[in-house]
Formats: sequence, C-alpha cells, structure tokens
Amino acid sequence: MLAGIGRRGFCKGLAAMPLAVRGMLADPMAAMVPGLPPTMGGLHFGVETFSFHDVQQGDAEAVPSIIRYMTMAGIPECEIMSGHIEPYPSAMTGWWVQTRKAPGFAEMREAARQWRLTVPMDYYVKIRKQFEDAGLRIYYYNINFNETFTDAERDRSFEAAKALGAEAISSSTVLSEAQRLVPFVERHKYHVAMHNHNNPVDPDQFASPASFEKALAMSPWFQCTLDTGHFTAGNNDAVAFLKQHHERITNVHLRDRKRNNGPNRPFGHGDTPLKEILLTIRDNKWPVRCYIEYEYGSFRPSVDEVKACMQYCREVLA
Amino acid sequence: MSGPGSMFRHAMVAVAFAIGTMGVAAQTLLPGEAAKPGDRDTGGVRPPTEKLEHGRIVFVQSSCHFCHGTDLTQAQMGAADLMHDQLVGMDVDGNLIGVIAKAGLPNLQTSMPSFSELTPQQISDLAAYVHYLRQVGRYKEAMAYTKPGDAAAGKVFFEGDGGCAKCHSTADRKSVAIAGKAKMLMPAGAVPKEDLTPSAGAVAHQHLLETATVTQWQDVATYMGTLQ
Ligand code: HEC
Ligand code: HEC
Repeated sequence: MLAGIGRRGFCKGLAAMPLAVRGMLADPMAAMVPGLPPTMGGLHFGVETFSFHDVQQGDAEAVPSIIRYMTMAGIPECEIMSGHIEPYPSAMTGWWVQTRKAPGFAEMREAARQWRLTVPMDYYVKIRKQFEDAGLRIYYYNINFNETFTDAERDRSFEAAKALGAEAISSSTVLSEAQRLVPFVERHKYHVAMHNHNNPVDPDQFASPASFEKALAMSPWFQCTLDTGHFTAGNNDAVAFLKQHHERITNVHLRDRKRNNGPNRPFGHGDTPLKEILLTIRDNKWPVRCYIEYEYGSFRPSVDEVKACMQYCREVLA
Repeated sequence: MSGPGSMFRHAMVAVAFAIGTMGVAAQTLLPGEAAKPGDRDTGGVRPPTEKLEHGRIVFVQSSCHFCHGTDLTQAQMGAADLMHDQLVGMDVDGNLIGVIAKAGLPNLQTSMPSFSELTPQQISDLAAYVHYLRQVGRYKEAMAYTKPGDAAAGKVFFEGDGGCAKCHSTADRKSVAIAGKAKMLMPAGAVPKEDLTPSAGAVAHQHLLETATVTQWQDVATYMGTLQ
C-alpha cells in the first residue's frame, strides 16, 4: 500500500497544481482518474456504500447513484455492499438472521444463489469499469458470509471480488463461518476482513478483541474491518485494539456511537474516540484505510451527511 | 349477506371506500411516504400537528427509520415491522415503545441501540408519531382489502373481541350502518381537516385500527351491512 509520510508531503507540494495533473501524479491508480485526490490529511478515505441510505438494495440505478454521491463527497474509494450490485433477493443472503424468517425466504435465497452462480464475471468487470471511468475505485467487496452459503457460492464470491478489482472482502460474519472460510482464503489467496458488531452475549459473533483474535489465529489471510462505532458501543477500546493489531486491520469503519449500546451520533457527538483513531493511524503511518459509515439520523440527504463526516475528519487532520 | 338491504349496504361500503381512497389521493402524499428517493433519508413528509412533528424529529434523529422504515414497513437489518407488530398496538402513550427505545435490544444479532437519553416528553411525542404512521398505514391496508367479508364472523367480532357492542347497541345500528368502514377507520390527520382532536369514538376506533386485522374489519363491515 502506498500510504506514508513521503507520499503525504508529496501530495502537499502538489496542492497548487490543477486537479487532473495532481491526480495523475499522485497515484498510479489515478492515471485514468479525472481528479479526486487519493488521500486526505495523509490517510486513505473511503465510504461503505451502505451510507447512501436512499440507494435501495437491488436498485438498477444503484451503481450510477453511488458513483455520483462519491464524486459529490470527494471520496475516491469504496467498500461496495453486495446488495447494491445484486438483484433484490440478495437482501435475503446477508447478515440479518431475521430475514431468514421472512415469507418466501427459501425461494428468494435460492434465486440469489442461482444468480450468483450463473452471472458472467463480465458483469462485475463492467461495474469495476464504471467506477474506474469516473476515477473511483472499489477497494473492498462487502459480502456477508454465513451458513446459508453453499461452497460454490463462497467460491463465486471470491471470484466476484477479484473481478470488481477489490483488494479484499469485508464481511459481517461469525466465527463458525470464518472456520468454514479457511480453505477458501487459502485456495484463493485472498483476504477476508471480519467486521464486528457489538453483541455482548453471543460467543460466535465478532464484538470483543478476543473474538477477532480467534479469527486472526485461524489464517494469515484473515484481517479485520474494525467498526470503531460498534466496538465503542460494546464498551471496547478501539485505539488500544488498533495499537495492538494494526498490521491485521485493513480498514476501520468510522462512526460515532455512544457506549453501552448507545445510538449513532453525528461525528464528534458520540463516545468513539474518532480524533485519536485518525491521529494514531496517521502519526504511526499505518496503512489502515479509513471508511465513513454514516448511520445517525438526519433530515438532510445522506450524501450531505457523508460530506459532513468527511469534513469532521478533515478538521481533525488539519 | 342477503336481501336488498345488504345490496344497498354493499353499495354504501363501496362508496365509503371510494371516498376514503379519494381522501387519501387528495393529499398526494401521506406521512411516511417519500416524494423522491432521497426523502427516505429524511423521514417523509411533515405530519399535521406540532406534537406529531416533534415525534417525527425524534424518530428521524434517533434513526428509527433506517431500521424500521420511514413508513414503518421497509424494515431493514432484521428490525420489527412496527406497523404489524403486536406490542406497538398495545402501547399507550409510549408505555411500551418508550421502555424498548430506552433499553434497546442489545443482545440481538444486530442490536437495536439503547436510546437511554430520551426524555419522557420525547417518548410521548415519538410514540404518538409511531401510532400515527401505523394508523395511516393500516388504514391504507384496510381500504385496499376487497375480499368479501364473513358476516357471521363479523357479528362475533362486533359482540366479542372488537368490543363494538360495549358502545354500540344494535338499536344504534343506523349510525353504524350508514357510516361504513372508511369513515370509522379514518385516522386523525390522514386527510386534511381543521379539527384533529379525535372524538371518543375515534379514539376507540383508532385503537381498534391498530389491533384488529384487515379481515376482521371486512367481516365487521359486512356484518354492519346485514343490520340495515
Ligand atoms: C439499528 C437498527 C435499529 C434502530 C436504529 C431502531 N431499531 Fe427498533 N428494533 C430493531 C430490531 C433488530 C428489533 C427486533 C426485531 C425482532 O426481534 O424481530 C427492534 C424492535 C423494536 C421494537 C419492539 C418490537 C417488538 O414487538 O418486540 C420497537 C417498539 C422498536 N424497535 C422501536 C424503535 C424505535 C422507536 C426506534 C427509534 C427510537 C428504533 N426502534 C430504532 C432495530 C432497530
Ligand atoms: C369506546 C366506545 C366505542 C367503541 C368500542 C366502538 N365505537 Fe364506534 N363509535 C363510537 C362513538 C362515540 C361514535 C360516534 C361518532 C364519534 O364519536 O366519532 C361511533 C361511531 C361509529 C360509526 C359511525 C362513524 C361516523 O363517523 O359516523 C361506526 C360505523 C362505528 N362506530 C363502528 C364501530 C365498530 C364496528 C366498532 C367495533 C369494531 C366500534 N364502532 C367500536 C364509540 C365506539
């Protein structure tokens, strides 16, 4: 990864250049990029596309909408949610166990599986190209593995992630599924980053430092997507965890939640030590990518709130 | 259903139904509905009273809509469908909704956050808004339900679980018969009108709107038709 002080200084020196030129020099990726600077304050920022709440799962216009919003918010890379690029039944394949009680679940789950197993890889390549043509990048594919996946579907998810040009899969999953994924990550030689929530009682869930550590011990291909908000809501110390495990943390999800399972708040109003997280990553030059996940309530459109989150980070790093 | 009276009654239900639907159409958008996709973020259109608007602000700022949906039905992240959920139907002025909102549901696979900082006033407003969205939604459902009802089942409901007989005698049947389902079930504020303070009858009916099923409403309307 390209993060680091030299690069940061380099970017600063380029500030006066026209955007297009700056973009082209600053990042090899940016050779085809119209101009978004690849870093902000020395860090690589991205967005979890879940943040764009008005983009519906299965919406045919999802990709153009996401591209438009990322461009508006000035965010060059994303973690794209599988539900944003798969047809609607995809919503039945994911993290939320309650969907498995929905009427027609079995049929929809099968429809989603058949779609995944038969869609040509070119479908994903075209999506990748749409992003690249706009000067953006899919850095992670967010697909939430669970026991409803068949092995063929697991394989296919890795193929899809590669075709999208993603560097890794980020997954809201559980330890028992991580165990099943070991032979897949080894065979595909591909990273899966575990994303935590904050359930305090279920030992199968990613929530505590110990739960992450169990997965990290299973395979060197496993990493963490540390959701700093959920981690804080579960009364864990995100900075301490970063200090200990930064080499295995590919990205953090930035969101500000209150402790004790408290709600999401606008950045700066919760208990997540966002400032310390950003400064610690920057000052240690860790190549940990910083991804906005907007989920507090607001009367403004989500793209405006994503911009506000970015502004908060910009000020912290200024 | 039999006899000319019931035919007439049937026609009345149809008329009332049409009026109800027109009333809805006239206000182009109901609360909780989105004018354009971006509005899903922002909690739909403004409701008709100050209390409800305060409730909407709490609802949106607490991000209830991200999980439960702007109109209570687009449930995401495994959240309960608050339009059909029984507990919400039993709530009075936030006595149940408030407890759950404050405590949250931390032990679920995807937790519902604990909104412990909500004040009693915010809970009261929030609950009012949730009930209001629920009534509007269920009213639309009841009006869209057109399968013929079962008069005998309607009688049982009228005299039993529906509690209608507690306030309406069959001698009272004229007022019952002429009004029809649409009028009886109309939630306060679903159509623009000056006075939004519900009558004693409306309060009872709206509670029933939140608890009875669309089939039960159809059955009781059919039964009322036979009383003509
Ligand atoms: C992060 C998602 C999330 C948010 C935000 C959220 N909820 Fe929930 N809520 C849930 C889930 C999940 C359930 C449980 C569903 C189940 O058990 O099937 C639930 C359940 C409920 C229930 C109980 C239903 C029952 O019968 O048990 C009520 C009432 C409720 N929520 C109200 C609210 C209100 C009011 C707000 C805003 C103040 C809110 N919720 C915010 C996810 C959420
Ligand atoms: C707590 C008492 C109460 C209960 C219970 C009750 N009603 Fe009523 N209802 C009233 C009153 C009072 C009115 C007179 C109009 C008003 O105050 O809104 C009324 C009016 C009506 C009307 C005429 C509506 C109009 O606006 O002219 C119908 C039809 C009706 N009720 C049907 C029912 C049915 C069916 C049930 C049972 C499912 C029921 N009611 C339960 C009190 C009640």
